Amino acid sequence: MHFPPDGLPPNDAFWSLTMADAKERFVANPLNRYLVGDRSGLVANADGSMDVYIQVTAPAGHESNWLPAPSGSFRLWLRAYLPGAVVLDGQYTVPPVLKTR
Amino acid sequence: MRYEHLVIFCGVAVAAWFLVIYFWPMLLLNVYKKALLTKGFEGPVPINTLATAPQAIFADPLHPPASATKLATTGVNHDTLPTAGVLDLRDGPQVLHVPDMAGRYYSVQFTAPNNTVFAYVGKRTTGTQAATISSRDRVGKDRCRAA
Repeated sequence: MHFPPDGLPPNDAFWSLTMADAKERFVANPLNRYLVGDRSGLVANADGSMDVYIQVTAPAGHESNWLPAPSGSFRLWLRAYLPGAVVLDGQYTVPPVLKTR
Repeated sequence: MRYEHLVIFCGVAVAAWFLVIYFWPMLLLNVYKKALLTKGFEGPVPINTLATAPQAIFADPLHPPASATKLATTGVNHDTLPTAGVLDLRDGPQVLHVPDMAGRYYSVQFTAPNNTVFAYVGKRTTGTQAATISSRDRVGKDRCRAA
């Protein structure tokens, strides 16, 4: 999932991208990480954009931006608490989840 | 009247659909209310009391304590710790005291039995300072106010 520069969910509190399997259960993983967000230590790219790696095993060199996924289908929740005006106006675009390789 | 039965069938289907749309949210709220009153997060939550989900679940959602009920482990939310309760306002208003949250996000949603949200207390509306909030008696007419 690729967030463009300044493309993280605008908010006045915090935001999160939460992972669950198809039966809406958290996904076990060695980091005990069930979401990424403003509190999870995401690292931005040089141009200010941000990549979240949604995969079963840790992406080498990008562990900080790893959102552990189940091997099957999954569900994602993108939440913005105290959403900013851009969200409330319906002007925020949620980046698509893109399949790579 | 060759299409009479078709017309009746469609009419009943549309009416049934409206009934589902109208009553489904209330049904869901009732399920939640019953679960809270009979099972709670770790035990029944009597009317006019509040209970908070065990923090252990929040720290480690995959290994809930044995005391945790299905209500406590349902839902995919690792952001906020829920506190919930059912208030009976037939005998008069209730007072909610919220502590000083020192700028932290929190929200209290007041939901009427018909599933409409009739009041909201929290950082967005009332701020994060300590406050005493009174809920006027009758649901539907009441509004919460911070004092």
